[in-house]
Amino acid sequence: MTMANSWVIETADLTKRYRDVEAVRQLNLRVAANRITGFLGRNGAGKSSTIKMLLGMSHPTSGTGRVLGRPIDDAQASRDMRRHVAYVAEDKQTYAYMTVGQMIAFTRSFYDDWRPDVEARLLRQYDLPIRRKVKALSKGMRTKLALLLALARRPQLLILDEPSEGLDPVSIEELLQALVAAAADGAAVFFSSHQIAEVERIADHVCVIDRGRLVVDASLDEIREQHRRIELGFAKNPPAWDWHGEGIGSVRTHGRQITIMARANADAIIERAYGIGAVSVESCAVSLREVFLDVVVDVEEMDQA
Amino acid sequence: MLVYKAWRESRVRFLLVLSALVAFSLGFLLEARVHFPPPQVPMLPYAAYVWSTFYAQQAPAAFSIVALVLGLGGLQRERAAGTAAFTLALPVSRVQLLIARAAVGVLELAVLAIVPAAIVPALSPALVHQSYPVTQCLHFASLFMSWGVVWFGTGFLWSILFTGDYTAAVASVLTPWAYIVVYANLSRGGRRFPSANPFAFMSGEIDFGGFARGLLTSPLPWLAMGVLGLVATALLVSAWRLTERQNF
Repeated sequence: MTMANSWVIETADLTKRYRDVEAVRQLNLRVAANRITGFLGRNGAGKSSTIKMLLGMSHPTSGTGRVLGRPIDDAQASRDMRRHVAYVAEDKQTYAYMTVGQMIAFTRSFYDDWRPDVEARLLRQYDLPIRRKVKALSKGMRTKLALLLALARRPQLLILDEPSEGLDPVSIEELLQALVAAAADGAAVFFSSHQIAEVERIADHVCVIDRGRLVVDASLDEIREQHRRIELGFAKNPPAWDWHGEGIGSVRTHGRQITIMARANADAIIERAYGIGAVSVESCAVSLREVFLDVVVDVEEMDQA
Repeated sequence: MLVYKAWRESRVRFLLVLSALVAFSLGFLLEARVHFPPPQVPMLPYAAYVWSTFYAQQAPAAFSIVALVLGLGGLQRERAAGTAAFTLALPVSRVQLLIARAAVGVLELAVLAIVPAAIVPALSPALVHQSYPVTQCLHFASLFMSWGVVWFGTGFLWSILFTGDYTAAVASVLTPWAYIVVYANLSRGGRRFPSANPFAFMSGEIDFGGFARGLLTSPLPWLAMGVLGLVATALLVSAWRLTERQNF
């Protein structure tokens, strides 16, 4: 295992093609141990396809990947890896014909790291009816059961695909706290979401995927530090100027105002703005939501071009 | 636990067929109590009467369909139900999932093949005042199982090849009839490769060396049974190889 360099997930040019659709394109992803990594992307961006390849559910078209140091395209290594990985799938379905209690007993039998105390606590906390069949559970209850089955263990890596979908606000809060607790307990947490606020609340690191490509890979602190919204004011109509350059994302002009989303080099951009006659310059911190929209829209424009 | 899962997934189908078979067997005995021997054939041996009901006519076709249906299920079905991701995230290999499902299915099939052996010889003396040898039931059960595992393997393979909700089931029901049409053409009306005629093989009607008055008098056709076992194994191995390559 390559824990020496502390990557629990590493991919190199990982690509997945379904007939003529390229779901994941040459993805170079690295997820660190002992951190919470948010995997952001729109619906159909390639998040689930990536996770399925990491867990051996689908086979990469090209490229390689390792999870907990084990190659993802080796069936035996993948099975061994899954002993140490807890996973909550996007649809959170478990076996409809089993009761909650049977589902717990079934899952427990596969893992040595099961924690009965956590199981009992989560059963109480989630108010799960142990004798009720899974098919009779509401969507929210099914999600809670899937979370219990993952969180009642002590995995090295916890992978969750859209974990908060179908949960009410109170349950989402409990979930986020549970993920923070799992990370504090030593697990690396890798969760996909398109709920930016959730990612911003708990993630240490953010990866954004769009149309199968990794477009952001940075810690939340780096994102906050490097990404700025720069508002430029001019005394008369701003001069024609090619704003595209290193570190510049989207550029919008409203009369004598120009708004630039800077991804890096904010100081250099401000200096350039003064050089062409800006009379007022304001540099503001941006939310993860703004960063996300900036990069996603940019990728869309690139693809259209 | 994988065996438990396979059992839970197939038990409704199995128990329904088992209940129907037990009810049919008991119904046969109660009917025989009143109507055996039939007035139009007063000299008909009881063995021939049992054979014509349990092992001839529609019985081989019905058993074939049951075997095919028991072979259905698995990861493609789970994909439709949304549970494939949960199953594939367990620390087990795909071949382990397949072995558990195949083992449970073959065992269920064997139980169904043996049901008449458990009921007819035991209750015939009391209800019909006739006897029927257990060994005959076991011989026929072996013949039924020999082709049964081939049908089971075919259903198993269909369940992996076809992703549609009902495609595998429809293909399974049509398979025996399609096979018979192909076989009739290739075998010149059944004169060549008699063991490849599933229904005649299962009912013991083809000449294994001795079949008279509803009783098998010759040893079991071990060579043909071995070949059918190999065919079933090849079908299951093909299913495994395909499953390993599939994306979920």
